[in-house]
Amino acid sequence: MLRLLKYDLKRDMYVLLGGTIALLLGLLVIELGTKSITTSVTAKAVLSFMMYTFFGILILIATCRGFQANICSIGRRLVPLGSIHYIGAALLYGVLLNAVLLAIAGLQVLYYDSVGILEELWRLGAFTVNWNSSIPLPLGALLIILWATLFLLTLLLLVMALTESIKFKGRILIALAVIVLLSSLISWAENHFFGGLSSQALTGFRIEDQSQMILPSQSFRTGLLRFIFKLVVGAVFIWLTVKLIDNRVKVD
Amino acid sequence: MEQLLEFETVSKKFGSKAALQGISLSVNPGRIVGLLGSNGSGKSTLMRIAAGLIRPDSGKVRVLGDEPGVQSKARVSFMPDKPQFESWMTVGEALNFQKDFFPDFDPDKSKRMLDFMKLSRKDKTSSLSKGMQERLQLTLALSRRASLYLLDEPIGGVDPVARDHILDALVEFYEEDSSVIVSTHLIADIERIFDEVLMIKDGSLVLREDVERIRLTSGKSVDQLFKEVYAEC
Repeated sequence: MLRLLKYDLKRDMYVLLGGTIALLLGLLVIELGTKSITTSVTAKAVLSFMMYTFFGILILIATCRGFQANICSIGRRLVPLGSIHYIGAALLYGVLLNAVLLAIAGLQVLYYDSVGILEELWRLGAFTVNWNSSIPLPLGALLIILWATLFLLTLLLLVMALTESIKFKGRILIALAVIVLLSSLISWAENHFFGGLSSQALTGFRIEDQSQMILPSQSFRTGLLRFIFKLVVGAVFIWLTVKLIDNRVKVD
Repeated sequence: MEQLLEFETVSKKFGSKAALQGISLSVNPGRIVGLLGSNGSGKSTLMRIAAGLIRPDSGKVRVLGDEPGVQSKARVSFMPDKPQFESWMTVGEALNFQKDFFPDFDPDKSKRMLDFMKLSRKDKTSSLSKGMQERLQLTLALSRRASLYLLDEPIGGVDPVARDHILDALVEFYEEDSSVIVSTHLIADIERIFDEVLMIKDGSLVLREDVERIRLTSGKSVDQLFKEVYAEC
């Protein structure tokens, strides 16, 4: 699995380096560009958040494209490893890159903290966090986002394997339909079994106001049950993906 | 004697087209076997099933006593008819990839093969000509000390000089206690290295014979016999 990941990272090395430089330049432009004009710190924070979201989506796309290339590549499929290794490598790839993105975001938060911007954002009520866990908030936020990424990726990889198993046209439309359908079903099941009003198409963290990020907070028991539920659903997605790769995905 | 490869009434369809129809065959150790047939006869499908890349619809396949899968992939070296290396790799990286994943990879053998094939580890695979890509493919396949080598069209699309070089490399570098199955439709160029030939047509086995016996009993070359067999079908 790690050897597959090593070759995925080598293959995408220049794209990843370019992406990182583009992100840093983008953040620099936001930081320096907003100094010359009268911009509120909230707008600055929202722009940065949008930048991270954009790159987070790019990471998901890169992970899916890499996985799609790997399961169809004759060189990769000839190696003596089971299909679960391709899935594991893709999940690690996505989580690793998101962890790097979060680390850069963490550095920015530390910078904001050191120059007093973070305090000003709290004071202005730009975002609210309901956090009543014993786990420190930064660690909790990191775990929530990485877990959401991991779960979302199990769904996306299943859809990629499904589209590579389909021989007729319109695969992209089918993929989108399956993503929306499965996400809605999961949301419905979560609301039905554990309560809540979540109705997002893509599971993960959610923005409910234009400028308010709310990290989900719930009782430990409900949180644990939700986690187990998603763990089981994720395992089923992985099992289905393995079956599709073994039996349906055509090697180019 | 353990048979390296066994097919028992194996069939495979792609949509409504039958690629293999109830094929049964076996390959013993220490043989170079020619898998002969025209384009679309089912040679590549048979190879890919043996390599564990696709599953048959019916019938039984045994590779070194096991069903094709993770274990057999570690002992079978397959050279596909398309590049198995990735376009971003250099020749050295393509060899490192093999080394990382296959325990039977022999670095000394790969070094000798690189010299023989006139390839450099620094060459970018994307800039290699078709003939040089074929040479790299063969280097990747034969640098392993595998029990069974499956070579799918190793000389397809290369000039006659390169063909001879590739065939010389094959004879020079394959492991003598293993077996090689070479699929091709360019028989005249390659028949000198075969011990045995299997001819398939429309997914069915139409002939299986020792090359020496063909020459002795019919007085014909394999190429001549191939043309006769395929003219009748």
